[in-house]
Amino acid sequence: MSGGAAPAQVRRPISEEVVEPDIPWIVIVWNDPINLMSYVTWVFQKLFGYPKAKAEKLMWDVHTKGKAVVASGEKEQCEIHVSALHGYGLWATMQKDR
Amino acid sequence: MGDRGSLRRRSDGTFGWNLAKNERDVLTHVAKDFRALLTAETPSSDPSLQRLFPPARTDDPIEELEYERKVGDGLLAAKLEQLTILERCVGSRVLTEEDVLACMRAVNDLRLVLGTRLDVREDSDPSEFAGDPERRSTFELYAYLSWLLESLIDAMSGSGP
Repeated sequence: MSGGAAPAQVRRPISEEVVEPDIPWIVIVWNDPINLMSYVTWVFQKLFGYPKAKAEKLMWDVHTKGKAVVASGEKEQCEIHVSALHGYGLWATMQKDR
Repeated sequence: MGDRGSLRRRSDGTFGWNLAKNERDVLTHVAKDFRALLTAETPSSDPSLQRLFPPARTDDPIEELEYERKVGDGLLAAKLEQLTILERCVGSRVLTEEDVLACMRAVNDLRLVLGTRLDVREDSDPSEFAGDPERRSTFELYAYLSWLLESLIDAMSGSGP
């Protein structure tokens, strides 16, 4: 990139504490035999505002591959997503994306 | 109950709900049982509840405890609240969109509990439970709730009357 502001100088932290790099978090939905395909698609549209085609693609990934990453971002945001998915009865977990 | 479902979006944005008496009776009964389960049991004492309160952090038990501390009670409260809304809506002919959303979540919770107890597969059918009248009747209830949920999704997804 050119023309942008110079990056800020980053100093080494003074403490010996290891500073974790800024790894984003991902939200995973797992396949289960109970949730209806139409319901899972609908929940993805409702919760994440995804267009129907994207929601259906994610639902098929869950159904055929056993799981799909449905969202990513900051830890707190992912916790809110997981909790909302559990509210709808989907089987969701979160983890660092590494 | 008709093939197209008992819920219709109306021009004013509310929904007309036309449940048969036997459907109202069944839903009232199953909601009452579910309330007793949610208030008396815990996921550790009843496996069907584990499916309703799954772990969020299977990668880290300490983080899982922290997550449960943060959201655990809120999730139970939300499930009881949506069940209360379903119980109210069963006797109502006009629902708001919020009512329908809560009913969808509550009906799906009921399906999760019954489906877990029956250990259903994606392709389970009534013949599997033919030799056991009690499980057969639980499966019929499960199938009815699946049909009901589909009809709620159809009505919510539709663009209007």
